[in-house]
Amino acid sequence: MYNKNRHPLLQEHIIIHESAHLFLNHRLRKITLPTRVDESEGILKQSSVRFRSHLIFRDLELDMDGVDYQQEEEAETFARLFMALVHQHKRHQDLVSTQNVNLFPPFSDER
Amino acid sequence: MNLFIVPIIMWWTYYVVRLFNHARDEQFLKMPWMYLWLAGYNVAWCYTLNHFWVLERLESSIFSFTQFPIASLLFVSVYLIQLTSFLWMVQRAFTQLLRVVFLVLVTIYAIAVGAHLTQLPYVTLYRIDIILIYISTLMGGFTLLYILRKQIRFPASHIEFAHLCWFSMFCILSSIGLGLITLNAVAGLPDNLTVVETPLQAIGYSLNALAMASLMILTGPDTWLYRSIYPYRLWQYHKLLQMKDFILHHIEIDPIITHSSSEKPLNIEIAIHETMVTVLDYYPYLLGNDVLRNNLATIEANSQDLETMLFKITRLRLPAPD
Repeated sequence: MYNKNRHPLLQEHIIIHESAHLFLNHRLRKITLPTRVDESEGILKQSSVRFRSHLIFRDLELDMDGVDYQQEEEAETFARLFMALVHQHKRHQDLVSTQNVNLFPPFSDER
Repeated sequence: MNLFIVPIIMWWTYYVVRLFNHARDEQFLKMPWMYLWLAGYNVAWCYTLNHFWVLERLESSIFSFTQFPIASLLFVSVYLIQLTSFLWMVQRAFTQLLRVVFLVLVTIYAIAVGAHLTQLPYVTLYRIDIILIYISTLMGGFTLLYILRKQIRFPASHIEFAHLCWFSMFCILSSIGLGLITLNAVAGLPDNLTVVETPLQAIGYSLNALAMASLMILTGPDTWLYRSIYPYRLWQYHKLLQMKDFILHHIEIDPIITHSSSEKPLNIEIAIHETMVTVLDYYPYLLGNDVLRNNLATIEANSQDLETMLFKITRLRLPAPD
């Protein structure tokens, strides 16, 4: 779950973060949202910027244990390092492929 | 042996490889980089000839068959042709405002040729060359700097920024260096002194060597050029770090994960990326800082990539502490 109105940099980070939970075979927690639509929407709305498990757990009056915190930290670290390395590799490719950068455009015959 | 010879050979060899790399380019003859390459090669020769004793030796060995000061004329010609072609390139690509500059350069060249046709002492000719070269270099160099600055739209890419930095460095160092050499030449002109190599001249040569090094870095591979702007990236990172620390201290929720940020990160790019993600992640929760939150939201909405955001965020002013 991610907000499409946020910057692509954050969107891709969140996607990798949530995927990291799957890659790292994290424990699943079953949560039950209130059956009333306005209540469940309210819970989701307060974390509309990003789906934050600790905020939802708080609003559902559930506790996060040590394993939950550790898993969040693992997923976050995974996402940060993964995306940073991807961007670093992309930058390196750009630098190598544009040797002697065409800072100036080609000459035009039109004067 | 002239110390400039070794870097010239290395430089030229390096660029020959590049020349062949671009040989299949359909716009081969229209790409300004080729003219930059030629210009860089030419500048190297200019610096080699920019020594009185080198010119004297050339006159007495290679050009000993004539009394006409060929080496001296070659010296001033290489410089002026170089500058003219360089400016022509830029003018053709971007602007038509440089006609006056060309006119002045042609006039200077005419004066130089005229001086060589007279029977002036060799050392006086050298001094006149130096003065003319100084005027034309100042004019050409700073015209190019002005155009380069206008051409680059901020936020500039790393490579564009590095070009601007190193070319500015080249202009400043060569102006001061040539200025000292010119001062030395002017000082010796009235008395017709035969000794050219003075401490002032030596300092001028040293600064010219540093200017030359700046130009070599400028024309180096992009990967090297990119590393050369590390101090600027570190400054940007610290500004971003200040923003992150401010946000984390003024948000309404407890961040579930707080990554400790190092003042001197092992990898500056990874550190910038991580810090930017944290800023983006948490600024919507800023409490009581609507202006800053709105500014950050505007930056996020109007910036295509990380670098644009970084450029804009580093220019934001943080609210004063309560």
